[in-house]
Amino acid sequence: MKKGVIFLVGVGLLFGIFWAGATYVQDQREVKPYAFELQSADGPVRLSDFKGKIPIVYFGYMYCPDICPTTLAQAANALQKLPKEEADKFQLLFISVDPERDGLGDLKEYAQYFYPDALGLTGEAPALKEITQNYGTYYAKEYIENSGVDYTVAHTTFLYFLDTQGRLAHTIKHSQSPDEIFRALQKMLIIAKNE
Amino acid sequence: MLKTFFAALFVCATSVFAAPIEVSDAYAREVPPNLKNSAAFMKIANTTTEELFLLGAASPVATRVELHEHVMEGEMMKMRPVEKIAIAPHAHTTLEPGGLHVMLIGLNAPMREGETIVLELYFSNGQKQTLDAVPIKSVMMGMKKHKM
Repeated sequence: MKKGVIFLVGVGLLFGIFWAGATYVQDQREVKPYAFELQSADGPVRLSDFKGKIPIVYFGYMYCPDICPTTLAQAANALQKLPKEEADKFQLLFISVDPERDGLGDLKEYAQYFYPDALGLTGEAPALKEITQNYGTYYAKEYIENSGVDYTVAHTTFLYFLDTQGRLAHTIKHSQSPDEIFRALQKMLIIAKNE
Repeated sequence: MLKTFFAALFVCATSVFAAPIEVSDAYAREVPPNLKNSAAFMKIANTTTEELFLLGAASPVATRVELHEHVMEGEMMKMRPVEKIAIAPHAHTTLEPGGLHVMLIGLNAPMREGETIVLELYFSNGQKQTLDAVPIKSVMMGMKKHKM
């Protein structure tokens, strides 16, 4: 009888360990794809630096005269609609996929032009390639002939919203208006409350 | 003396009629100080019965001015130069964010809201339109302050 009990307890314990381990690994797998380490004018920046905050990530490039400023302005506009304590929970991140042209100092100024707390980041091409692949975002350099613009960067226009633990919670594929972003912000605040 | 008078009258008379191409609601975009490119948007109306084209533009504020369009391929947004922009007869074409625009490349001066720029447009019918005071608007719409 006693041996049986010990055996059952042993099995139960092992099962418990595996289950806990599996959940831990699963969590790590969810977080890992969206983690990054990039450069800013003030030093390296990691996604994990914003644990506890709600990161909003946008990939683009500064040479883009229209889509990028529009999207960033819409995001900033949506943030400004929130009371300050709520807006401060978010962290707007602009990641340039054009490190050849976008310097770190310029990126800092550019990001802050839209929103004072926003950060402008970039990195080396291989790092960017990996990060954008993980996020499911695409970009491609297109050389243009007969243009004052040597090349443009075709890119997806997604806005990514991550939760306070660094997991992807929401994506807006092509933001049409600040209202859409505002609704996403409110949704993220509710998610953060329940975490 | 009379000849000059009639010549002047003639010139005045012709300007009373609608120009073949009318440009309205033109504005350029304010950009952060270290950004070298900007864009201008507008509405172009063709009052004639023939299709007309915007062939190009120039501005003292930029080293080079080109016409560009945005095209969504799959999920990627692509921007590329176009040789001309068509305006159908008795219709209008709108250059707006996310679509067609006049791209101002290599700015010579900062573009700040409240100021204006000069933009020259060249059309396929030989018409040259000079917009003397295209306002610069900020892309940040709405209030800048947080709701308290």
